[in-house]
Amino acid sequence: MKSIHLRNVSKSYGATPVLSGINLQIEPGEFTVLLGPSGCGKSTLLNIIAGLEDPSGGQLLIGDRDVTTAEPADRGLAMVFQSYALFPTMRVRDNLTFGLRIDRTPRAEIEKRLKWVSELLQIEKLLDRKPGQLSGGQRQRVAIGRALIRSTDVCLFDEPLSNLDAKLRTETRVEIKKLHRDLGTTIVYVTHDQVEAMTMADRVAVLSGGKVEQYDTPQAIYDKPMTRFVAGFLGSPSMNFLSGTLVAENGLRLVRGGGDLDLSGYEVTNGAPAGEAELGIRPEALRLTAPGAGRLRARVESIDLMGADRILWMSVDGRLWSVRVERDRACREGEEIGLDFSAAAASLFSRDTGARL
Amino acid sequence: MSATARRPDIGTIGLYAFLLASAVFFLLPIALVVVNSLKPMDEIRAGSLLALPAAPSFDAWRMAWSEACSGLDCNGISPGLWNSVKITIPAVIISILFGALNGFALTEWKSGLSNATMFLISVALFVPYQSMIYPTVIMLSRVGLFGTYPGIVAVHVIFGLPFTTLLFRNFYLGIPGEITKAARMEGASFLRTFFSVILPMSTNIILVVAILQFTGIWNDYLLGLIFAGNDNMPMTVQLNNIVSNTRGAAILNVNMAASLLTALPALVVYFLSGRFFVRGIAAGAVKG
Repeated sequence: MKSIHLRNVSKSYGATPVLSGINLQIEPGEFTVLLGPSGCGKSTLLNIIAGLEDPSGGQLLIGDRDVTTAEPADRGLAMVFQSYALFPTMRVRDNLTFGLRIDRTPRAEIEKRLKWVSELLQIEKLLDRKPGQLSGGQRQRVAIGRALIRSTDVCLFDEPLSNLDAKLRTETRVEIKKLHRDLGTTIVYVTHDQVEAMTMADRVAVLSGGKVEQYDTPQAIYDKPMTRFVAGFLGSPSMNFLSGTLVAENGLRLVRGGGDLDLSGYEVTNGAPAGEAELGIRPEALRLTAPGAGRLRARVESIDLMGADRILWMSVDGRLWSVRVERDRACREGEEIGLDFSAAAASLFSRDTGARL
Repeated sequence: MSATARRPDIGTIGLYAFLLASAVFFLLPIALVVVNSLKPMDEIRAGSLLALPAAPSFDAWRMAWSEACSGLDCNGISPGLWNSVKITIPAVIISILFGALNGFALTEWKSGLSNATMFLISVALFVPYQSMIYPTVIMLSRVGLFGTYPGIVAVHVIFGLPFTTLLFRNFYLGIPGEITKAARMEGASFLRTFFSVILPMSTNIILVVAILQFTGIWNDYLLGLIFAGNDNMPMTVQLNNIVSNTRGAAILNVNMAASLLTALPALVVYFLSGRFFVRGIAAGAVKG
């Protein structure tokens, strides 16, 4: 298994910068997810790692080898594409063994690997079919098989599940995770789906506007987002925000129109927080209280039944907030209610830079 | 379905009347040629051109095939058939192969120069080839190919390439880029990708281009007349020599039979492949 180092990688198309100053150090055998909204440059970054696009600047190392300008085939990696990209005129068998045949692998070895991979992915019965005769899920398996059969040190996935229906997506997600655990391949996986990122990744790199916003474990990214963008992007429903001015005398307070909020107990990340700021609280970090008892006043606007729990949508300071409550909690639309939270579970972001305070 | 939709309205009737009239307009000359090629000359002189033959006979066809005179030779049109075949088939195959390769290269070559090249190729399509004949004659004679068999094949290939390149390139633009990327990730070279992955996906467009090129080259007269040389005259040139033979009266029935014999291969190709032709055009249109 190989590590992947990206050093100050940048990419621009003409005058348009797509990626700037990307630094990532992916450890051997790690499952890394590149997460971000469409247009954030995550697929471009994956293509640069694959060698399908050349970076405009910076350096790329796989293992100890500088592969910045190497051909894709010389980098020792395999890739699974979003559209599967199976060769439509070849049988599944020939699709799987295409790369091995190009490498002039001995026929006995090809047969051995074909047997291994088709048993691993349970596609033995499909080997003589053409891709057009397969369902979406089966094509996905063949595409993964084509990547695995060459036993490369690194495997790249470009939004591989986005063309599958919801049930199949969950199943395949679990399966890819299991494959990673069994084979130990270094995986770089691009997605815009935060559930995939949270459930599969060892570490997640959140990208926005061609920059890495945060690179950490899923839990750390969820609990302690380092930028306002990451805070708003991860979580469903997303984090609730409130703006005001931070004042640090007599304990940390957020001064706003509806009265001061006491934030003592907040773990400061950077220096002495002051000035215009945004407070962020996750829907599940909020507690319902009697009206007037909590630090915030709210009015229930609507209720979403989620099965296991419920999401209450309420207006706080004219903003729509969501609160996750257990499903037995009685409440009705239009009800005036109090909200409270622990300052330690909240996040504060600078209004100017978006950085965590 | 409503009752009104079933009753043909005046527009529909008009449309069918027009289509029918067009069909008659285009078929009438062919019918004329067929009918008269089956009559002896006396009957043609005596009767109406449109009358059916009293006793249909293939004598005129036999004459046209093996006995009609062009200039001093009286071997009919048959030697021209083989010449046309040996010119058309290699020219079609080579222009398709290189057109496909060019088209694929232009699709894969992601740069402004690629579009500029494609633009120049499209412009080349609109240059009347009559204007290129004299320079081509000079170039071919410099390399000793003027009036030779390889010469005429090369001329057809070169004059056909802008067209085949354009068609293949437009078809390949419709193939998802991830397929060639996948082949590249598997370690396939440009040529390997082309031959193992892209060409097998191209059957529809190959058929379309093959039909167009076949009929185009088969029906060519001018290039064959100028470049083929006396030993390789295609059928069209021999047909003209027979028809415009000025000795004696025009032998109409033989001339008509010779015309039909010359047109036959192109017609057969159209009839046999019409279905694929439509399908290929449609596939190209939807995917592009």
